[in-house]
Amino acid sequence: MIRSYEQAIETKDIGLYRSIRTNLTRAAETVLTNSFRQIDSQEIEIRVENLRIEGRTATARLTRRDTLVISGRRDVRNSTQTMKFEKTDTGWLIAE
Amino acid sequence: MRVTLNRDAARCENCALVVPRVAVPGAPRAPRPGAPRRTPPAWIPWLVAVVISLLIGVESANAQNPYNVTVNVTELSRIFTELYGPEGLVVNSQAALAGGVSHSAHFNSAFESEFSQFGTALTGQIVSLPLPAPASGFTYEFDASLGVFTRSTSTFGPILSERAETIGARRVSFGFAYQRLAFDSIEGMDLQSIPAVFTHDNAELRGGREDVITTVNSIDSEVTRSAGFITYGVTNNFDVSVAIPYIAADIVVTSDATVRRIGTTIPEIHFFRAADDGIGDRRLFTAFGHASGIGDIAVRLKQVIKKGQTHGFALGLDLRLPTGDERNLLGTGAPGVQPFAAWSADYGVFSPHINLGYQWNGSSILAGDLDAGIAADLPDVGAYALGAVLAIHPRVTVALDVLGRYIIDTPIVRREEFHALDGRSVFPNIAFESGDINELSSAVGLKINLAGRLLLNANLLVALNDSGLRDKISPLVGIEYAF
Repeated sequence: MIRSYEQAIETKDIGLYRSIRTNLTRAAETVLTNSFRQIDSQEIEIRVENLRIEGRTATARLTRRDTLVISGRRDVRNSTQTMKFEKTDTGWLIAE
Repeated sequence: MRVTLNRDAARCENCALVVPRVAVPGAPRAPRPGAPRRTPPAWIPWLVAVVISLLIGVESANAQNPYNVTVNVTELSRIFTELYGPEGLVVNSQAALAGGVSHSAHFNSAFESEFSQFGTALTGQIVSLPLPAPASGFTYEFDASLGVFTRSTSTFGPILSERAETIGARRVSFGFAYQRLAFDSIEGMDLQSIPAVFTHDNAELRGGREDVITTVNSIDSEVTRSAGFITYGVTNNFDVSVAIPYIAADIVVTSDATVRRIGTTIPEIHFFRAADDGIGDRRLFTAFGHASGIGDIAVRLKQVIKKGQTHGFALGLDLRLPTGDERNLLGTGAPGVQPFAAWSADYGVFSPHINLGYQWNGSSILAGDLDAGIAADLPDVGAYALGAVLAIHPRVTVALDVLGRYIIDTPIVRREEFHALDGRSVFPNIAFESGDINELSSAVGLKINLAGRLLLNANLLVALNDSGLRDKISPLVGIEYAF
């Protein structure tokens, strides 16, 4: 799941992103589209610091290192992120 | 002060008078005695008559040409006090006073003595020209809910006002802006025709002292400001900006003076020497000057106080350093401090903003006495701006603003009627009083992302009212690059 998430962002694949996060709102999709258009390229290294699974839900605390190229300029950003997942009949999806 | 003479000067009086050379046409010659006489065709006398009348007309017009006294001032701030020469406005006189002392008639007007405050207004305009706000549109923020980076705002920000956003930690933005001002009016009065009446010394003694000099004055003043500026993001929420302006100012003042004989009937008492050496009633005075150099350096500190999902609030401080030569109107000659607040919101492609500030100014000789070198307080200014920025394309932002300057307790020139002591003659005049003025302008501009992080800024500042010293439309062009 997290690998798909990385791949969707790195390859700017809205379809793949939507397939793992089906509750994507129209506004959120616009933000994604704008981000993909504004950023030349993005490489992500995600490390799962903590993962807690409770039945059909799970919470992961991630640290990530993003290498961005924007307007030809390379920029490295380190950040933390908490993701929540839920298990559906087809598998795990991103909830928020 | 340097007095220059026209190359065509036919006569120089007091080394300060420029006379246009008068081409006097020759009169028809009488025939030599004994010369054969031929009868001319019938149309010749008519032609001769027409030509003679035209030539007489030309001669008459040339004879009315007044002297033009031209002064190249070395300090622009003194252009009004040096316009009429070191002694001020003195007319010619052939009248002798008791004891055989020749009469030297000196006339005074607020135009000469108080219009130097024009310099205060002019420098106030120069330093009030806001510097283009650094674009924060190149800042990218992490959207934790989606896991992507997005531009912190959709627009490149306003041009002549501020928004709350900063450019981001360790970011640098630098640029250059060129602005041009050619002033058109002051308090709604056309700078090409400002009337002023000069009265005789001790006019209350009546008699010949009731004579006045009326003048119609034109002021051509053009100022360009080229400014380099740099902004550094000390932290994510704190910016420091420095702007170094280079000012070039050109001013030409022309005064067309006419003697109005209210208390005299003999022209020899008060007159201007005419171009034909006769007794005239008109003279032109011209003073001009140019100056250029570094203006007042400005430092801006801006701290974001509140940053919400769609709006932000910042407080800032503008410091103006008196680095410009005030005697040449390149700077105010006084430090200035302006705390300000900036609120802005970001609703996708639409970003409104509001600015409020108050500028305290120190003392400058421009507001005091130039001759005595005595400084006085420059007026304080309340500044406000209301505007919005619209992203019409990912690379193009339109910025609209209404900008105001509320200048407190400043000299204000107003038009009035001058009633001569004879009780009948009335002439247009100006007078000065103190008060507050509210200068209102609008700004319309574009920020275009040419390539990468390079922005082209173009703006028109348009006067919305007549208050103060105004240029109807002031253009600005500039570039900006963000690292």
